[in-house]
Amino acid sequence: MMRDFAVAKKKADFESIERYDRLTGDGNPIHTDRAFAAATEMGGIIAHGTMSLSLIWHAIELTHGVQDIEGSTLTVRFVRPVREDEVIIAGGALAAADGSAYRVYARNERSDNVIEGTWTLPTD
Amino acid sequence: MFVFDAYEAGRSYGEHSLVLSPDLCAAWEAEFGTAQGGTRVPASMLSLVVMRAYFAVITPRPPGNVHAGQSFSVQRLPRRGTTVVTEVCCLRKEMRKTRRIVWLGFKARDEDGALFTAEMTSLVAA
Repeated sequence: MMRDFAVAKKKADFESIERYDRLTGDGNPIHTDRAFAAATEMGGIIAHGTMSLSLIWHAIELTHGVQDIEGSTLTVRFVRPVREDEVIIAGGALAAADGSAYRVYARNERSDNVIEGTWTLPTD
Repeated sequence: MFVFDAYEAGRSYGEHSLVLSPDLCAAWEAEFGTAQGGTRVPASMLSLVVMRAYFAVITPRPPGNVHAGQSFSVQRLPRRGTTVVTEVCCLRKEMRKTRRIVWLGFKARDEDGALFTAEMTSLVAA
């Protein structure tokens, strides 16, 4: 039984944020318009929260594979934004002795959690 | 406009169809890595399915909504090249002090049946 996930990393540079914005169809200028973002309470460009969420899924799949993902549940809350050019690091650690639950996270380089949550597998 | 007062608990707001084409899958995997599951798309694309449905169905929205939380219950991962149809509904809404909170539900299926359900917690700006 895996105790810790394989870690997935992604740099939230402007180009990757722009590409993600086009892929999802988001269109919120806080992600792609520097002047707009600077005038908001965020003070600058932030990455999409689901960019980090997608990285958590990737970490899960790298570690556990499709067979464990089907039948599972992932629940997260978005804790803080990812700033432009921060590196997002996603992973997880065993939370239940029987292997049925993992704490998952996405963090920035300062180890501040940007997403926190739980991934649970069905128990037999 | 999907302001807080416009949401009705239990109401479905429609469906969105997304074709998981080879081009889309390739573009996604260039960002997040290659799927481990062969014919299935990467699990990370579940987020894409939800967000595409959200932006298509829950529109127009007031500026400033905050995506506070997200959950997924996965039955099957979609297969490459298939069409995923996602229904979007309002599960419930609540005022907590000054916060307008709406929980949206997503039910995704393909031609073979149910794929996954998801729930989005949104802090609505107005």
